[in-house]
Amino acid sequence: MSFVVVDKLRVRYGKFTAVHDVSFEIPKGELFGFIGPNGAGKSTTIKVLATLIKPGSGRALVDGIDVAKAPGEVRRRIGYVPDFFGVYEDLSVREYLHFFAAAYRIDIGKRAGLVKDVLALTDLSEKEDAPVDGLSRGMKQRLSISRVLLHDPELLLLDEPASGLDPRARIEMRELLKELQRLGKTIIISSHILHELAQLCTRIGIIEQGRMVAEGPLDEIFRRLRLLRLVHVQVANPSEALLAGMRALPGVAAVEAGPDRMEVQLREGDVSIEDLHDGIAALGARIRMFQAEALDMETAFMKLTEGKTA
Amino acid sequence: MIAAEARWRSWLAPALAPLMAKELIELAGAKRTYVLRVGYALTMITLFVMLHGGVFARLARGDTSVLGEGRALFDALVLWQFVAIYLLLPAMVAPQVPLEEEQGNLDVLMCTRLTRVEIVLSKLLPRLVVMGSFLLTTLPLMALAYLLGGVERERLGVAAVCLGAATIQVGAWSMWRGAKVHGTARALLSAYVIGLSTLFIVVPWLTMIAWSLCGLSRQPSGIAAVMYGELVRTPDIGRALIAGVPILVSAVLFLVFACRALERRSQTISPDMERHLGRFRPRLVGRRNGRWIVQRWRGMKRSVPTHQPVAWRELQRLPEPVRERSAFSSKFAVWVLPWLVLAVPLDLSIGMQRSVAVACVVSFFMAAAIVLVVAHATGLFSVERARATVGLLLISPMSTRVIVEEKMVASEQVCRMAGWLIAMAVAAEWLVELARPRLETLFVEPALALAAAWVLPRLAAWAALVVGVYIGQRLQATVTGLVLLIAWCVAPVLGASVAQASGAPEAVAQAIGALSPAYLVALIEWTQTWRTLPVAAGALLLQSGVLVALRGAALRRSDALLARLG
Repeated sequence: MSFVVVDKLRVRYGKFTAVHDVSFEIPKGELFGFIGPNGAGKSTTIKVLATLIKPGSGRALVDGIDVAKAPGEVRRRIGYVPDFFGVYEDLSVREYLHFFAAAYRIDIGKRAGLVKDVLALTDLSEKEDAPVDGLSRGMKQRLSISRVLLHDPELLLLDEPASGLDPRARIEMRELLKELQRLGKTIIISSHILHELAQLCTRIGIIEQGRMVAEGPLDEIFRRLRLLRLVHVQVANPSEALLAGMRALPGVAAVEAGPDRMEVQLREGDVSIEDLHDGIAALGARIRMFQAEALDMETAFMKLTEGKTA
Repeated sequence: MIAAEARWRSWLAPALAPLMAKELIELAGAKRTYVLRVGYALTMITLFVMLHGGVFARLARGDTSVLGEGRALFDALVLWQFVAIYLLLPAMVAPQVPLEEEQGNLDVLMCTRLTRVEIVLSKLLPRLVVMGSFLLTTLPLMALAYLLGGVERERLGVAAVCLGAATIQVGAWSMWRGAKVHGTARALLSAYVIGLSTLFIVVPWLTMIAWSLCGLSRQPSGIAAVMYGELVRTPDIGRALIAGVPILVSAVLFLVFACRALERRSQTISPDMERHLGRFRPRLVGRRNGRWIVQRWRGMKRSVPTHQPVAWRELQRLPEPVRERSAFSSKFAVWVLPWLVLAVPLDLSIGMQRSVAVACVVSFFMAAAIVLVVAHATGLFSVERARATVGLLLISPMSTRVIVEEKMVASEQVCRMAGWLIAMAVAAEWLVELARPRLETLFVEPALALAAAWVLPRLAAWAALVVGVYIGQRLQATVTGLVLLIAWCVAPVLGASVAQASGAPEAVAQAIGALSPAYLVALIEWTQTWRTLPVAAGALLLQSGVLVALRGAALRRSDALLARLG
């Protein structure tokens, strides 16, 4: 059964409809990437799941619980990191986490150990006595994730966690998210950094003008869009005959020969990467390098959206 | 490290209200709290000495006739405490929720297991404690008054009940307005302008109905300050407690409203979202004859001069009813007319020598106009600074003088619209005066009222602009502007009291007092005699001179003024 179910969700601000009949499902343990231009309705949908906004119509369920009917129960199961969050002045990292541990009603005897654990997980142990106000943006983001891990939620809602981060902080954030996924958390993440989401997410949803334009596992979306995947191949014995043989392989749209490698454009869904490898080897090629590029999410995004905001 | 942990463990132990504990610790640790408390105590002592120092001088001379005068001193002290509660508490409480939102913490708190009630109470109660500590600083003065005799124990109890009820009621009201409205400046305005006016009208009205339904006529009203005046004639703590019930009920209702507003807060459109949605954002759709053609969200088009880009931008930031004459007429008139429809027949029916109800309306509009314009003008440059757009302005080809002039176009628009409101009320007052025609009330007083409506808001606006440039931060600038406005209202009145106490002629005391806008409006609207109206006219001339001088200085020294923003 899906851990998160959003069914024909509609949210209005006065006369303005921010989210139109959005539906998607996320199985437990998946990392769901929410993609869309500014103002598309990503944050609004995440806020509905975070129990901050009541749906106008439709429903949103977390672990089978309706967010509108039992928000308190849902709050026990979620951790929400908003796109913009502040910090309280004059608090150290540890004090900040102790405060939120109390706000999450965690037993006082367990708090110190728990705070140490989440600081270790987010690699902030060395900063535990540093004032929160003085942390870098990347550290504040990690602290924010520490905060939501305090009550061990099953679902993490991360609204643009990578925005404004430098490259190092982004890589650290990505590794942290992978670690959280390994721990079995279901994660919904909205971001503009498409290639990072491609590396992380098991499913994506593309939203524009408040409507979901595509949703599902990445491979499926690419198959549906019939996008081409690029594979770099380097062989020890290049020849015209080999090139012609590769072009004739099923699923291959084109092969371009470069000075040291060949670029194979593969029609996603027609043939798997492994079958392509076997096919080239069967043609007698002595393969030195075989590298498939990550699925081109930017192309998918541009193909599916028109750049309009809600 | 251990100390820090111990500190948090100690106060986090009652895990019931961690947010309240954090607020209390922060307030206790903030220097501002101590500075304000000392300032409050010093103000009260200064007031006491200036107004009642003579009593102690007589006591020092061995004049025993002062014994028994403690009651008057005590009642005066209690009155000032009420004034402090009504003026200070909204500023302390109303911005709390908007501040959390602006700092990005509100959504985070709402997603924890803290309930809405807990968040509201955690924000409110620490401020009530601080307000209580302010009130307690006057205990030595009250003890002095008590020593002089005439203050019964029952009176002490009634004062404590009424002050406590006022604190809770105003705090709860301000919390509601803060939870309801987005933005600190809007929350402050809502708490002061809408809040206090409604608190003084709706609550007493509902209280009166409630008492009537209970078959208890002639019971105290639902305003704590008025209730004190009604109860101290025959002080009785039991009666005070019963009379305090409607006040507490209204406070509980306000807190319930605050919790509901907090729950629905994310559902309402914040100013940021308004901008984002472009709902009120005008679009430039063309240019014709040197003017921009602007299309707004309803499709209505209008043109503005292209040579005033800053003024155009500032005008667009104003709410539609203030910006557009047509919207102003349709919306504001709807708010104004009921007041006048109620006040004019009331004045005609009570048969007094002069209008009372309409004069109240004129005075209220005048006060509201000045408060609004101060809140607006203090934010003119601090908003630019907060959005980091001030640099763009300063490096533009426009001179600093032009920037200041264009910025003030929006404040001028606020003054103009407020002037229309006041003019409508003055016209209604004139109609009332026709029933008992007197030369001064038919001609002199309306002219002075209109002149005051023109001069005072503009003077306040220019002063507030300078304050906004100097302070920089929006909330601090608005609060400082309002505090200085209060000082402008109160200081000349104190000066007049001191002058009167030291035997100066009444005209001199009135002239000093007329430097206060509040006193000036009172002279025009309430005293209205051939002796006071010339004083008011002279004071208005003086205020006009100050306005011209301040405006000239701000424009002449605009380079130095705006250099502070860089």
